[in-house]
Parts: sequence; C-alpha cells; structure tokens
Amino acid sequence: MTAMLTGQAAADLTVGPIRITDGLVRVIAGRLAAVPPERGAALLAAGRLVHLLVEDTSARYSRASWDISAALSATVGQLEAAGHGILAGTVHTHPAGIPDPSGTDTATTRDALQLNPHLGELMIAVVTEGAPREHDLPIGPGHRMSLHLLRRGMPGQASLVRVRGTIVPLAGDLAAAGITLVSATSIVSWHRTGRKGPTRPEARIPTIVTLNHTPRLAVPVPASRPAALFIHPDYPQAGPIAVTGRQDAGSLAVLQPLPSPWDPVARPGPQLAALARAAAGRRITGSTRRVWPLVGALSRRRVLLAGAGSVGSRIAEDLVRSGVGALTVIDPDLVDPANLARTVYRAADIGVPKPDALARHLQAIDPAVVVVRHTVPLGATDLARALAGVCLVIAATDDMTEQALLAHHAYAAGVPLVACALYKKAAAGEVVLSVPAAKTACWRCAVGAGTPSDSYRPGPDYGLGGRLPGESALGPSIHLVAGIAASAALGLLAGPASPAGRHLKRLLAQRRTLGLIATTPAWGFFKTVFAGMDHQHAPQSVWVRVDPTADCPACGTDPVPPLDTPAGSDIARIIRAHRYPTSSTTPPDPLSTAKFLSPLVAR
Amino acid sequence: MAAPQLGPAAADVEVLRRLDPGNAEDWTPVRTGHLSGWTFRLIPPFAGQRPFVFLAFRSPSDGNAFRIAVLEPDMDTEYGHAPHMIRVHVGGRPVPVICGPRGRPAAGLAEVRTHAAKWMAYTSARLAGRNPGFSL
Repeated sequence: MTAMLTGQAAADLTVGPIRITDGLVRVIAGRLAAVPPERGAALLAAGRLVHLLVEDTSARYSRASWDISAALSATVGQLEAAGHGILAGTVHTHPAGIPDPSGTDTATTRDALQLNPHLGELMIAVVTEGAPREHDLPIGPGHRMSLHLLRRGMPGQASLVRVRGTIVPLAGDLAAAGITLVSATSIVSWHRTGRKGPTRPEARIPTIVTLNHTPRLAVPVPASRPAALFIHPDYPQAGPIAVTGRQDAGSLAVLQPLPSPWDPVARPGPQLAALARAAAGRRITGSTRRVWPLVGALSRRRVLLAGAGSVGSRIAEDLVRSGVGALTVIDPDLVDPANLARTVYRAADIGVPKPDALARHLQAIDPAVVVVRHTVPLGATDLARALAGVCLVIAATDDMTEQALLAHHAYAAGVPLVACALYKKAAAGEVVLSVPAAKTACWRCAVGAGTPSDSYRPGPDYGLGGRLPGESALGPSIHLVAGIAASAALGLLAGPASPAGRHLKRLLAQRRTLGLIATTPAWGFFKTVFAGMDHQHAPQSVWVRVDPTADCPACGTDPVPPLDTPAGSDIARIIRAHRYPTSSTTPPDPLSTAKFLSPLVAR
Repeated sequence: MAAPQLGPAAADVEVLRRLDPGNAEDWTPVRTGHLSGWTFRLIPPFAGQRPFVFLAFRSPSDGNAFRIAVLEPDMDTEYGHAPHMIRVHVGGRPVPVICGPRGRPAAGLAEVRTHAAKWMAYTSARLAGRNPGFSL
C-alpha cells in the first residue's frame, strides 16, 4: 500500500495464530510474489480460517504503492453476500527489505475498519523477498509473509499488533482425495464467471455454512450425486462433516449429514479421503476383488435385515464386505453396553439406535452402501412396502411372533429368507433357508411355535413383551452360527450357478432347509448322531429335511396372505365399538375396578 | 394366493356345538373384509363384575391359529397378567393379546376358551381384591 519502512515489531503471542490454508499460501506465491511488487488482494475467511484471495486486478500499482481499487471493495461485498466468506484483511507485496506494514498501510486499514463496523479487526499481510523471520510464514522458495492485526479499540483508535501465522494443510489433503479447493479469484474472473456460478464443480468457490454457531467451509466433492465436505475452521484438529443431498435446481436443497468419524491424533489426509468417499458414495476400488469370483457383483442387491443384534450386525457386515449395495435395517433397540461383547458396535455407539450405529459401521466399511433405517418394532413397520425391491430377508430378531409375521410377508412376496437364531447359552443354533421359488417350507413350518426348535430357545421374557432374553453366551459361539447364515445368504444372493451358491443346491433340492449347528461338543441329539466318532468335535451341523405343511397359510397348498393394515383397523374398530358404544360419547365405567386399582397398579 | 377365510369355519361351529351347546357365551362370528374370528363373553367368578368379552381372530402368520384380544374389561394400560398377555402387531397396529406358554396362540376354539377362561379367572380375582391362588 506504500513503502514506508517500519521497524520489526515483536509478535503478540497472546493472539492465536492466524490460520491460513496451504492453498492460499500457494496462490499468494503464484499470483502476488511471482510478479514485481507491489501487488495486492483482499482476503476472506470462514471463521478463523483464511481461505480465499481476491486479487485486485483493477488497482493502480507502482513499485512502491498499491492504490486499492473501488472495484475490489465492491467485489468483496458481493463475495460476502454470496456466502463465500467474511473480509479478513489484505495481503500485498512490498519491495525487498520492507517486511512490515507502512504507516499508510495502517491508515488505509484503519479507514477500512471504520467503514466496516461489523468487523472487530482486519489483517495486514505483507509479502517480501527473503528468508522468514520468527513468526513469518514462508511464501514460495524466496519470500516470506508477516502478519499484523489492526484491532478496533476506543473510538478513533486502533492498535496494530504483529501476530503469528500457521499454515493449514487443507488444499493438499483435499487434492490427495481428488478434490480441488478454490483458493483465489480476482475482480476480473469473478465478474466474468464467478457470479454466474461456474458449471464445473471443481471451479466453484467454496461457500460458508454455519452449523452449531460455527462457520464451516462447504467444499464440493466431485460425485454422481450432490456431495460436499463441511470443513471446520480448526481443521485438522476438528474434522469435516461429510454431507450428501438431493439435487434441487442445482443446489444442495436437502442436506443429509453422514457419519463423519474423526481422530484428531491420526493422519488427517486418509481420514479426509474416507469422508470424501462417504459423501460421494464411492466404493473403494478393489475392495471386493477377492470375493467377486465367488459371488459376482452384488452392488445392486438390497437385503432387508430384521434384528441388528449379535447375529444381525455380524451378517450385515459380511454382506457389505462382500459387496451388497443396499440394506434395510429394522430394530427398535438402542446399543447397550452388554452388546459390545458380541456385536460390531463400539463404545461410542452406546445409546444410539442400532440401525443408526450399524449404518455408521457399514458405511465406514463401504461408503457406497445405502442403509435405510427403521427404528421401530418390526411389526409396526409397513412390511409389504419395506419388502419392495428386496432380494433377500435376514431374520434375526429376538421376537418370534414378529419373526413369524416377517417370514409370512417374505414368503407371500416371493422373497427368499435366511433366519438365524441361537439356542440356550449359544450351545447351538439354527439357520433356516426359506426359498419360495424352490417351494421350500416356510420359517414357521421349520422352527415356528410348537416345533422342537422352539423348545431349544430361551424362554420368552414377558418383561420384554415376550421377546427372547439376552442369554449369556460367547461372541465366537454366536459368530459361528451367524457365519453359516451369512454364507447361506451370500449363496442365495449370488445364485445357484455361483461358487458361493453351488453348495446350497443340494440342500434346497432335498429340502434340507433347517441347519442345526452345535457350537459345543455332544450337544442335544448330536451325541447320538455322532456317537462313537471320537474324531468329531464342535462345531458340527446337521441339515434337517422340512416339508411344507399342507394347511400352512404361508407355504401350504392354499396360501392366505398376512393380515394387513385394514385388518388392524378392523380390530381397532371392533375394540372401540365394544368399549365406546355408539350411543355414548364417554367410555363406559370400566367395571367396578377403581377401588382395586391402587394395589394392582403398583405391581 | 387365496383371500382370508371370512366366514365361520364348519369345524369351528362343530367345536362350539360341543363346547357351548346353548351358546350361553354368545359366540358370534366376526366377518369383516379382512378378518375372520369370533367374539364371545364369559361370566367372571366374582360377583359385581360385568361379563368379560373377547375377540378371537385367526392369524395366518401364526399358522392360522387364534389370537385373543380382550374387549371388556379395558385393562390394556392398567394391568394384565403379563406372562399371558403380549403385544402383537396386526397391520402395523399393536394389539395386546392373551397367549399360551411361550407366547403361543390358541390352536383352536377349545384352546381359545381355555386361555380366556383362565385369564378371566385370574383377572377377576385380582379385580375383586383377592389372591387368585394360582399363576396362569
């Protein structure tokens, strides 16, 4: 702004370092320091993070002065109004040997501060040739940049202090993830293309979004769907949020934040790349290379998972690792501390609905997987709708009544089902294959109420509404049975011609659709089946033949559909009609119960 | 796939002729477009209480067995004998029902009547402030 020499001031270490992106440092080197002084620009910030340079291409420059143009003021105002940042100050080059602001620089900035009453301070950054002094930032191979803050004080007064700077490695990390961070514009380019909005996402100047009172830099992620990373001003100490959304007239109209785990002590680059993949919904190249020959491409397959506990969460992980592209997860429970011993969940998931925690876990494995979450009881879900487009059902609930309902819906819809349950203490378990197209028995005919399997299970806990209680059992025992269920599920998804599905052909042809898997030696009738075979040990399995029951409403000769929404309405209407006679608008006296209620309510 | 059987099954009628020849329990077939079942009423053992009224409906997902909803008295929220009352969903709507051991539905109308009578005896005693003296 002028070339008056001032002495080197000591930096005010009480002021936190000014955070400048590495992208901004590069453009300062490339646009300002690469040409003879003076050359100047305005700087815009997202909170504490200075990220954008606006080159004053309309100014009058001399070797010793930068006469800021009125167009720069106007352009900065437009950029602010468009949400690209807030004016943080200026940067300009000085001739060699003049590394700090001149009196004119200070006076000009003081005037700017007065014209912008919403700003508490403005930065003056001065770039000169030479090696960086203490607290200077290096600019390219031969320049340095000193940073100064003019802070608003008493009316008419403002104090200039020298401050430290720090370079935030954001543009480099983003570039490694395939994302371009636009760090500069100019009066000319803004008025030529920027205001209209460049068509190429990588040419878009990032905008600022405010979340929880913190401004974040919204950086578009190249993808086939709307995607962005919301960068925290304290990056990399604080992590970005991956966001996707529904396209609406070219903008992110409906934003959906995605699970965005961040470890501030781990390397930020790979974490940023993972979040970018999550935002873009991009699978990691080669992740299914070693299972593809066995199962083929499963990315277009949707699986409905009922029950996301020790069995369901493990099967879901196996399916997603094998390339299954979409899951619908139904479970009303929250992750409980006791779940940590036997599921895929982690301490941070405690208290989180299981479908949400599982979605987070699965998307950390495959950012492209789509997880539809239902956090209500299975029976409260519109099952006919939930089954639309589903290739396979995994039934792994602890509610046998609702499991029967799901199995009936699946059979009626022609959707194959793999059910998995553990017996007492997980000493054994069962896997049921129900394939309507192969005319196998349904789940209820195999293991429903009244079958031998029913007696192997733990007794229902009526404190849980009739659901099975969580038994003491080792995770590995559960995983053994769940692994067999997952293997069968992959076989059904891949088809009978695939290596993964080939083994199921005989079982289905012989209707051996009930697999009993003992995780402990000499379990139940296995000690008879394997008597005298001392070389045998657990795990062992026996596949039992199950034929459809002729009068079964699901798989019998005259099938009946499950009760549907109108049936539920009919029951409600019948109950209402008895309890609230149409002749009366008030409920009838509920017997003479009142006097007895007190001791009973406390039960 | 066939529509649900809407009328009273001949087999059910035969069972009822044997169970309640004079239809003192007012067994009435329920016919809606979507549901098949019966309502019936039982007289509680303790005086001063109104008849208990039940709806037994066939549940195809439970092998066409009967689920039993209590119409009178309304004790859905006050209390029930939990080990023999669970909540099932019908068309997404929660319905408290009386059940057999392990949440089992009733295979036929004789079993329906047994489950309902036992539940009524227990509940009637409790309503009367008496110890039922048994657990269902």
